[in-house]
Amino acid sequence: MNHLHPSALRTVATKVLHRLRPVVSGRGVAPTR
Amino acid sequence: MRAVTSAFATNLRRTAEIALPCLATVLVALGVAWWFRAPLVDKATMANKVDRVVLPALEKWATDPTPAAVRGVFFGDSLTMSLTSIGQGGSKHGVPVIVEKALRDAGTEIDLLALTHAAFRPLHLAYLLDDVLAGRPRFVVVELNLRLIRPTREALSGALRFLPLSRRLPLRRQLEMAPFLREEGIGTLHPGVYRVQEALSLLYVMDGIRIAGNDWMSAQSSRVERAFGLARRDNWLPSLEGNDDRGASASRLADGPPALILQLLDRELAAAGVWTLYYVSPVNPDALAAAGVTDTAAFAARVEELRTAAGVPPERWLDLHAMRRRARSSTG
Repeated sequence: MNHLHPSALRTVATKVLHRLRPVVSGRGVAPTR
Repeated sequence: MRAVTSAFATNLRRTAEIALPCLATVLVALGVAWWFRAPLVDKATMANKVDRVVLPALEKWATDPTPAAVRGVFFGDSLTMSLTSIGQGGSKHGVPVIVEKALRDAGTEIDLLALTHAAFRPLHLAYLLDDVLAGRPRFVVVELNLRLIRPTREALSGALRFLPLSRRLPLRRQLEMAPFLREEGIGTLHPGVYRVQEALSLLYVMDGIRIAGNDWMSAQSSRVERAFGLARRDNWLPSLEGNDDRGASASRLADGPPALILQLLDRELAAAGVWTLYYVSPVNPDALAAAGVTDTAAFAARVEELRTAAGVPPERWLDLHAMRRRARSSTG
């Protein structure tokens, strides 16, 4: 089993959030839900 | 005519004399298995987090939405989890929890399902895709662990293949995935048989019988060995460190099942109106070097080939495999 260091987990989360925020707020993409 | 009829009756009687006891034996065995199904299933699923935790959480999320919240799913393996939290006896936390908290703190009502298990691979999302879509998510995040995306047959034990999970595959997707399923050890009949077993409350009963039988034999063996003063190691545990970096990193990911599974997932998710982000988890460069991967540019190119072959546009793909250069990035 592999795990990431806590700081790497936070960095991954930050990068994912950067892509996710427009989708969650309904800006920039055209989500149908 | 009478002679023919008599011969037919004789043959029928003889066939029945053989077949009926066989049928009765099978029915008695099934009856006994069904009668003891609860303890047998308990025994077989004692450490089965997928059936005990992950699936109930997925079903609850799909059928019990939080009103007015944005719904999403985070799919991945141990690289999404916090070893610190697990080590302290807490939940697996990790990336989904950090993402959920950040969105909440920013004022977004979010209903996020962490569909994670230490040994999940994109194939398992394909098994569960209908259940995920039933929850009508707006987005799905899929984590990709390059060490496990295409494991060799030796790298994963049967338990980590989650074969019974294939019962959630609809026939259409099963047919489309048939070549990869065979590679996983799933034949044409497996998903259907698992579905029938589940309908009869017999799923995992056979595993329970096998484990109970094995436990009994082990206990008797211990008694015999103790009687003769033979040493025995009872605390042996199989290692989960079966990942094959050499195999995973040497293969052209774009040519094999990983790309086609991602392609299938992305097509179905897009058809359902779900925005999907794929991210490649950071890879421990020391582990890669130990596996003989020194040409990092060629490795990065293989990851990019995977994206292209899967048909995922760059804006929905995050390649973080080279995010950290030092060993602290991953303990794997």
